[in-house]
This record gives sequence, structure tokens and C-alpha cells, in this order.
Amino acid sequence: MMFTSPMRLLAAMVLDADSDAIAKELLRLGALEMVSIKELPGDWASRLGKAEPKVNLARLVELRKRVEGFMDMASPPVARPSLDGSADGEPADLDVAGKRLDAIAADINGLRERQKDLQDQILKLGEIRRQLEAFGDLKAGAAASSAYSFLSIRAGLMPADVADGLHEALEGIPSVVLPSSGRDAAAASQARRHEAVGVMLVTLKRDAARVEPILERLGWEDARLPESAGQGNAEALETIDRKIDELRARQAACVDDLNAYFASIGSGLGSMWAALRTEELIATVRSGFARTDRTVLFSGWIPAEKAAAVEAGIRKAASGACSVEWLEPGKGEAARLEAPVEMRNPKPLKPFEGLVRNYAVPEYGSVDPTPFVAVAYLCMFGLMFGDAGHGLVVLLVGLLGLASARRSGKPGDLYRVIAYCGGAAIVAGVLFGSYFGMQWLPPLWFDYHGIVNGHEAAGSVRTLYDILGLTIRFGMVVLGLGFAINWVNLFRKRDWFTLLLDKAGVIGGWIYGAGAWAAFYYVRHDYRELPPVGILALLLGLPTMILAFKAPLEFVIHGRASGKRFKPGLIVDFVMEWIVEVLEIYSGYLANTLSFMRVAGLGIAHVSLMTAFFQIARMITPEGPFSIPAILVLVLGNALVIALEGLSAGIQSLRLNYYEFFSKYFNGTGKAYRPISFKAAE
Amino acid sequence: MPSAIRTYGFLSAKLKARISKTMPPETMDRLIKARSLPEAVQFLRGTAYQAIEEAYTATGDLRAGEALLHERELRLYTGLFRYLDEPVLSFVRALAARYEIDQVKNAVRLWFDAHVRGRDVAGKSGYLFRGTIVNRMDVDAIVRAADIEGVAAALSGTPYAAIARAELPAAQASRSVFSFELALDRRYYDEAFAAAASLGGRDREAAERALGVDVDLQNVSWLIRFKDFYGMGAEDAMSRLIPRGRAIKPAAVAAVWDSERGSRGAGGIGLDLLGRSYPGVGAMMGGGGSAAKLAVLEAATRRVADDEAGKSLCGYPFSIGVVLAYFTKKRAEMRAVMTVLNAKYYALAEERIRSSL
Repeated sequence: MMFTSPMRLLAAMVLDADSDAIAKELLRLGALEMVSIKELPGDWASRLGKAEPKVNLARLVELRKRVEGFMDMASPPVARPSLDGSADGEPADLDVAGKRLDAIAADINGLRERQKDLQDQILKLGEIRRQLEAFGDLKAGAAASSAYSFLSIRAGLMPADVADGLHEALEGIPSVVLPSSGRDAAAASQARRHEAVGVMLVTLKRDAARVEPILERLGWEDARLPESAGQGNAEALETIDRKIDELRARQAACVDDLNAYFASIGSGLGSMWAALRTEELIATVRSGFARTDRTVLFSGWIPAEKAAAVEAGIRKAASGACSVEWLEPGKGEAARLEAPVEMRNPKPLKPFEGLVRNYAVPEYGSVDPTPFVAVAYLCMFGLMFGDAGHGLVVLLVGLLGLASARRSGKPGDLYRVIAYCGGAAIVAGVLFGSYFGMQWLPPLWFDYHGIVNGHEAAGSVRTLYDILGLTIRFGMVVLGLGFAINWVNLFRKRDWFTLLLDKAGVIGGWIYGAGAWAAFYYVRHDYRELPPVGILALLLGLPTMILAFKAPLEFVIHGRASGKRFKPGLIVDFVMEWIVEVLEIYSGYLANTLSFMRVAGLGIAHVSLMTAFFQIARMITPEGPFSIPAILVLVLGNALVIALEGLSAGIQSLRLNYYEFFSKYFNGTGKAYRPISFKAAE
Repeated sequence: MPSAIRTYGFLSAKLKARISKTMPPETMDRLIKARSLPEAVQFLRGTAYQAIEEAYTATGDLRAGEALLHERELRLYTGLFRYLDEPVLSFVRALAARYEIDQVKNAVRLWFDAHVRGRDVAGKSGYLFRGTIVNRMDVDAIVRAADIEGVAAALSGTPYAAIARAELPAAQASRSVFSFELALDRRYYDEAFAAAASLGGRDREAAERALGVDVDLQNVSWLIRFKDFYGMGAEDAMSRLIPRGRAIKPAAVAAVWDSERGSRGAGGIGLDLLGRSYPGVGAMMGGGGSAAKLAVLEAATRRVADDEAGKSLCGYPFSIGVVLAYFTKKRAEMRAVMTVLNAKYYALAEERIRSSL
């Protein structure tokens, strides 16, 4: 946990016949980051061939992606099965898989076509509707339709016993059928005479060829449009709306059908995906093997603690017919290879690894900064966002996000960090006695709101200056920790020169510590008195003078080795280098330290904003309990502060870690460890 | 006059942020390689074209998504009006007329198909844009108009009514709306150039440059139609071209019209003109027949427009060039996406799709 994981380099040779079993076992173990065997020193590499994959890898990938496309098309998406390589099924037949996927595509196309047919009917009904609306009444529409409209509006008589069947007979043809009997005396008497009912029919002229035979079959007899046909317009529009709603419901049913279809093929898709992905991974691993006539060779980095398990796995998969050799990083044949970096932290700290990686991967063998970043980040966030109520909201947002990420199978580390931030804010809120900007319980440490608002306070923190001083001390602790980590890293690397004379080395730490002491001495003496000159000369002057020897010493130790010759002009270079470095140390460390005042700044802003919203609420309700508008202001104010300040505090905490803390020790030149695994993302 | 930074600071940031959402080439490649339409549409999830995926999932109809997307883009465009002051506002409004002219063309085409050509257009007006872009008009009234006067009446209050009265009788006689559409386009460019003339120095230069390229491309595409479909002579063709093209001049048209390349078809003329007028297009010219040349010509014209838009985006950010470039690029991208999806609907081969992009 303290340092990045120690690694070992594996070099192994197995029989070609066992190569697939070995690849599968390596994927199952998920511990090997492959290295091309040809990268190892020696002139034998040119005599090795490449282990060709036994399947068409590009086709496998294409098919796997197609399957994923179908799995994601389902609602909810079909979950990808977890792979462990335990299934001993037949290798996937790519032709069969391709045909099966084509069949699925055709089925889905069929469903979409059904939806589109319904959509076409909706569009046509919509057109009928627009025309009817434009006509104002059916009778005007009938007159107009005869001349130029797309509509055919007609009235007719039908035998009473078949009239009801007209709706079904016109199924699939955009139409409106309205009963017209009883609306017009003449039509009614005519209807009684023939024992028929009056019907008004609106269709599109283009459908005449389909409509006419139906009407003929049902005994339609054209009649004069009733005088009251205009009243039927609203009814016609209602009928159209009803029909459109029905068609939309049928479209929605198609979506349900599609989901049912995916439910029925979901497990098959999952199995196909698992088979294709397994084979793809095996082929990918195998393509990294080198081969002779009858053997394959492979190499890769493995965390030292997993080396024994990996060796056992290889021996088992190869039935003992293998040769395994282990190399140490930086030594022998592994000397020229860069070992990858695995950060190994307890599960609760894992989300903060992402914050570190987001900046860079630490150097192999150095201190893993994750635990320090976690503590520093949460302290900073808590100090800037110290309100238990707001923290509770942030915690809930984090937990909800985490639940949502779990459901969708996405990484949830960001939400975990948000939840931790919520927790830190709750702790800080309890310490400051702040609950949604109110003091429901007395503060356990100091009354942040009271101090910012100028109230009398007791205890060690009483004024805004005390808060600023607190955050500066906090910054000094963080920077001091940065120095300490840097010294440990340099000690482990045996880099004595940098450890002693670098600006973040012992000399830099000395100047920083002495400067901090001198500054506090000055403050303690009411900004009137500096420490005695003798002590200042010893504490600050001496290390500053020692720094003057850094550049010449570096020239003597490293410059000569690289063939540089001393010239008198170099003295000017040495002096300039010294001046620049001294300036960098004094001004840089002062800026680094004062930068932590932003922690107090953000915290004060948080309190001030809440105070402002309470004042606005009080202006709305000057006395007594808050009115509803005032409560609304408070709720919106709290929401705004949570969103705005939460984001600011999160970003500023990250900035302080990256630019003030990391700049003291972090060497982000590492290469992340990426083992091959059945569980690895693409 | 407000400073360029004040006028374009927000607009430039907004449009450049939207340009950053441009579909990456690998997504377009996956779209082209998709084995079926549902699979292709699936790739649009999470992109700026998600509306197409959502509408297709709900209706099975690609046109529904296209209409939705078109409407959103129009809303964005007309929404820019409130951030602008004169004279930039007038210029952007003049450019918006392009969308409105498309709206008029679509409605009149439906009317023309139904009433002059006697074709069935039932259900085809469903996706016409019915909102107001610059002038208020009722597109349904155009579609269901009884005659030319009805179309003109439906367009009353807009500058297009007079054009309809003047051009549609001839269009009806020739059974082609080409002359009507030509008149609409000419009007659009006349208005756009007039509005550009009132802009400040840098803006005027950028606007006239962009419009000039647009005119060139439009002229080239018309020349093809003049030569191949109407068999016009050089003089007749030139009289119909829009003036103020940036690089293609009447003399250049005359030079290639009856030349050897010209005799090989309109595609040859277009390519020759583009090759002479825009460096870089010449490299795209190869052998092949008339159809292949037309495809290359289309690709070349799009490349020219895209290059010009790219230059504007890389140049000074506080000018009208960014606005012009955004809409040029967006239109091109939307067209490419819809071309691929429609090609998937008709199960066209990958090579054919690529050749049409």
C-alpha cells in the first residue's frame, strides 16, 4: 500500500499444442501484462516466428461488436455475461454466428417496417385531419374535394346489418366513417324506406381503387350529403384523433414486441457474445506469443505476490511441459524494460487511485500517493464545504449515482468520491455546527457562521484571521508531507545528490521549515520583530549559500561524465542558476503556502452565500416563522450553494493536490499496469 | 457599432462548442459498415444524432428523426437572432431564408406533383416544417391549393408570392418546377449579398467569400442540369447563372462548354470548372464515365465547401465566418448521416455509400 507493487518479469516456453490452454489460463488468472519476447536482449529473437491466430481476429471482433449492438438495442440492455474461461464449449462458428445475426437483424427490420406502416397511416390520417380542419365543415370539404383536394368525402346508404362491418373492412386504409342517419330528415326517411343506415365516409382519393370494391361488396349506395353535415366535422376530427391514438398505441406495442423478442433471444445473444469474446481474447493473447517449430514463448510482467499462482497455472495448463524463468526489474535481461505500475490500495481507497491516475501514473517503486491524496482531498473539501445538511445531499447524490452506475454496469468510482466528499462535509458540518446554514446543534470545534458574520466566539478559532491561519497551517502540513514523501522516494532510488540539494530535497525542506518558523515568529511578535539575525543567517542564509554549490557540484559529478569541459563562462551560468533557484524556492514556496488560503476563502464564501439567502428570506418574512415564499428562497438557495460550492470545492481540492502537493514529490513517469484478463474492458 | 468580440464572443463559443460534437470519423465509418439499418441507427445513440435513433425506435420511420433534427437545427439558427444586433442580424436573417426557401420548394413540389403531374402525394406532407422561419406562411394551404393563384395566395405576405405568380405558369407548361426554384435561389442570393454589403469590413469579406463559394457550387450543379437535362447552349446557360460567384466566371464556363471536356458531358464541365477555380479539386479528378464523374463532382463541391468552412473556423474567431462555417459543416454532416441511413434502408453496398458521400 505504501509503495507501488513490486513486479517480476516472466519468460516462459510451452509446447505449441498447449498454447490455447495457456492463453486461456493467463486470461483467467488476469495477472500478466504481456511484453513482446523480442524486447528481451539477445540475438535469438530474429529466429522466432509469430504465433498466428487460429481464427480470423478481425471477423471475430466485427461479429462481437454486432452482438453488442443488438444487446444494447434491448431495453433494458442485455447484460454482458461475466467471463471466467470456465466454459469448455466448442469454438464459435463464425459463419453460423454471422447468419444468426443477419436473421436477428431481419426480424428487427420486420418489426420496424410494421411500425413504419403504422406511421404512414398516422401521417395520412394527419393529412385528412388538416384538410378537414381547413374546410371547416364536411359539406364544404365535399364540395372542395371534388375539385382539388386529396380527400374523398361522400355520403351513402348501407344495409343496416353490414354497416358495422365497414370499419373492419376499411382496416389499414386511412378513413373516417361517421353515421349520418337522423341528422337529415330526407336522408332519414330514405333510410327507413330501404331499411338502410346513412353513413358519411372520408378517405383519400388515392385509395379509391381499394375503397370502391369494399363499398360495392357491402351494398353502398351514394346519397346526397345531409344538410347538417357540417356538424359532423368535430366528430370526424375526434374519430381521426381516436384512430391516431390507436395507431400510436399499436406502434408502442411494436416496441413492446421488440423488447419481448430481445427477452427471448437475450440469453442466446449473451452466450454468443461470451463465446466470441473468449475466442477473441485468446486469439489476441496468442498473437502476442513468439514461436519456434514446436514451441511458443511469451513474456510479461506480474505482481510479485501473484508470481507463484501464475507459475502454478502455467504448469497445470501445460501439464508440466514448460520452462518458466523469473527476472527482477532493473536487473539482468529485464534491465532495459520498464516495469508497469500497480497501485495496490484497500478497497475504500480505490476511488482515489483514479484521481492520481488522472494526473499521471507514479514512477515504479515510488510511494503510492493515493492514501495521502484521499486524506488531503477530503480534509480540503470538508473545510471548504463544511455543512452537514449539504454534505448529506452530496452523499445521497453519490450513493444514487453509484446505484445507477451499478445498474448500467458502468464504473462508479467518481460517485464513490462524491459520496466520500459528502461524508467529509457532514463531519466538518458537525464540527462547525452548520446544518443547511442553520445551527441545529452547537459546534464541536468552532462556529464558522458566527465568526464569518462577526459574532463573538470562544475557543482557539475566534476570527477570520484564525480561519486563514488554520488553513495556512494545514497547507504547511500538506507541503511538509510532500517533502517527506519526496525524500523517501529519493532515498529508495539512492539519488543522494537530488535528495540533499534539490529544491524539494533536504535543503529545500530546510529553507521552507526555517522560513515558516521565521514567518510565525514575525506574526507572534505583532508583525514588528524578525528573529535575531544570527539565527536567520544560520537557518536561511546557510542553506541558501549551500545552494550556490549545487550547480558546480552537478557539473563535477554529472557534467564531466557526459564529456563537458569547464569554461570560465560557466561560472556565470552557475551564479544565474543559483539566483533563479533561490528565487524559485522563496517565491514558489510562499505562493504554494498562501495558495491554501483558498480553502478558507471557499469556506467563507459558502457561509456568506447561505447568510445572504437567509437575509433574503428574512426580508420576505421579517418576523416569525418563514412564509412559503421565504422557504422557497431558502430551498433554492441551498440547492444553488450545494451545486455551485460543491463543484468549486471539488475542483479547488483537486487543484491543491495536483499543483501544490504533487509538485513536491510526484514523478508521473510510470506506465500503468494493464494485465490481460477475461474481465478487462476492450 | 458594437465590437466584434461583444458581437461574436458568445456566438463563437456556443457554435464552436457544438462543432466539437461533430460526429467522429470512426462513428461515421461504423455507420457505413453496419450490416442493417437498425444496427446503423443504434450507433447514433449518444451522438448529436440521437434524435434520429429515438424517433426511429418509436416510429420505424427515418424521416421522423430527420424532421425532428431539422427542426432543432432551425430552432438553433433562428434562436441566434436574439443574440445579434444590426447589421449582422439582417444578414443572418437573410441567410435563414435559405431554410425558408427549402420549405417553400418542398411544399410546392408536393403541390406540383399532385396537381400538375397527377402523382399520389398522400401522407407526404406529414414532415413538412410548419414553423415560422422569417415569414409566416401556411405550407398546408400551398399543398392543397387548387391552382397557381391558390399557391400564390397561400404565399401572400411573403416575397415568394410574386415569384410563384411569375414562374409557376411556365413551370406548369413545361411540367418542371426548375425555373421556379431557380428564381427562388436567385432571390435568396440577391438578398444575402445585399445584406452582406451592409456588414463591416472583416465580416463583409468573410460573408461575401462564403456566399461566393456557395454560388459557385450552386452554379456548377445547375450547369450540369442545363447541359444534361435541358440541352441548353452556353449563352442561355450563362444567362441563368447567379452572378458574384467567387471563382467561377462566365468566361470560364464559356471556355469549357463546347470544349473536348465539355463534349464529354456536364460532369466534365463541372470538374473542369472546379479544377480551374479551386486548387486541390484537380487532384480528385480521375478517369471514369459520366456517372462516376458526376459522383466525383459532387464530392468535389462538398470538399470545396468543407475546406472553406474549415478555413473560417481556423481563422479569426470573432467574425461572421464562424457562424457561416458552423451551418455549412452541420448541413454537410446531416446530409452525410441521412445519406448513409437511407442507403442502409435500401441495403446498398458499402462502396456505393462511400462513393456518394
